[in-house]
Amino acid sequence: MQGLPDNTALLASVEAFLKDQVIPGLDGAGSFRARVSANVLGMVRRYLEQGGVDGAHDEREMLTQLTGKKGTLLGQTAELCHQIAEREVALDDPRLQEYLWRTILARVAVDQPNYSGYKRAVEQWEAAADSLTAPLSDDEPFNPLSGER
Amino acid sequence: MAESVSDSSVAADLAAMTEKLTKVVQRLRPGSRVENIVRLTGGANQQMWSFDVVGQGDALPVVFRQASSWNQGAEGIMSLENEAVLIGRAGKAGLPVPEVYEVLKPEDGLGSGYLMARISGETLPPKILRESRFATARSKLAGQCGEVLAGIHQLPVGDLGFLRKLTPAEMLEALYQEYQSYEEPRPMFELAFRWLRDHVPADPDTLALVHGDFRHGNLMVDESGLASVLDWELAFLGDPMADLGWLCVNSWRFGNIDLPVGGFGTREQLFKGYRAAGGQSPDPQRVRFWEILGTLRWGVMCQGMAASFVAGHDTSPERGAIGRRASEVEVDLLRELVPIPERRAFNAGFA
Repeated sequence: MQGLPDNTALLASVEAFLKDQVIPGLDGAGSFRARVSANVLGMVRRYLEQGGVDGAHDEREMLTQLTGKKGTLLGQTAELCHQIAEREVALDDPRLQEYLWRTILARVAVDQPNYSGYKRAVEQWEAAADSLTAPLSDDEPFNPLSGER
Repeated sequence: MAESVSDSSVAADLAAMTEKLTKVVQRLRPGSRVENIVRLTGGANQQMWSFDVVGQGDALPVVFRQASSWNQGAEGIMSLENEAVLIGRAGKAGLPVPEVYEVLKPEDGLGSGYLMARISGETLPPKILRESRFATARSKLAGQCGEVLAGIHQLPVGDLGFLRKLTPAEMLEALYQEYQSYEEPRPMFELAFRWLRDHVPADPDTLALVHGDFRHGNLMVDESGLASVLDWELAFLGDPMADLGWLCVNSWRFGNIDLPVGGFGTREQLFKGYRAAGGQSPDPQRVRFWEILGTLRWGVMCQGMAASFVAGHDTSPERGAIGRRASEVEVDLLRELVPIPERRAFNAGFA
């Protein structure tokens, strides 16, 4: 195990340095590229923050139940694609629906948590969450993959 | 691919190009010269430059669009000569496009390309959507887009043999093949392809000219609204409703999620403008098909960006970040096509 500070804290520190110290001194094109670079660091930081809940384990378990097959995450995902294309799974299968909602929300939470379509989807998911998840509390960030805060 | 060039060789290239361009602009205005040349955008194969033609009278502001001649004829991409013909046709019909001044000839030694009027205006969405000076423009823009699209779709182009013909089903299958070529399986995309196959509209009675990329970035806006429509190289003959659907894709709303037309207007405003300019009455279900296909098209384009990053063609942070935007398409398709199940569907044992 690495010592302190955490990987995520180091990334946050570099993001803040870029945004607060570097970008204000750059011209248009340079400033754009530096902002994108800071956003890319944010993506990696959020992935590491989410990694604590072992999302891949949950995703594989859902895929095993959904496709009836075990394998690597990539192999199971390709198998599900095959079953959708070959019409071996119904589009209104609630397991397919729940798998898509959980995994896509988790993915965009890393890639682009400020994306308008993501925010709207999270509102819809939380409104439906009573019947889908354990009660939510407010002190931890929303984790779509586990459905827990 | 990274090129290693010194500043002095860049300056020499620019001087050589300016000399060749001077001969071209003298066809337009005898005795004139090229000044204030700057590169606007560019990759290895295609570039845009801005300069002024200076001589007697007022300086003429020009944009120069140029492609390497060896890159011409790539599949699905119109040559710049043909694009110039199409823009000329649109201008003749009174549509807002930059005037084409001069098309390059082989003996100009500059590859292929053309010179056109440099229109003043704004193409950057955050400025168009947020700055107060565009408030009046924003209120009219969706209707104007409808009017201009109706004009494009009524352009007589039967004699332009370079335009590809694509039915809705052919477009869908071409997109599926592109998706498969990236070998990155995405169940949400597969579901959307299946939904689209189940909802392909009948071929339109007549295939119309479709602009093919009518969205922010290609729409030049000034204080009074839509000033010019740029980038015609993806035009083809197909279902005109494809342009309306593409304009409504959520990724072009830039946060204004409840204003589906480019983040500045409603579908009703768009359709009203379209009808007012003599277009058919748009069928909302057909437009929705094209909006979903357009959303997926943007997702597959993002996968292409990711593929070029992974292959090492462009490993810049910008390219990598756009690649990751495929997931924004997944969440938009999710909201459109997948209801949230009423109760938990999986056995306990995780989460």
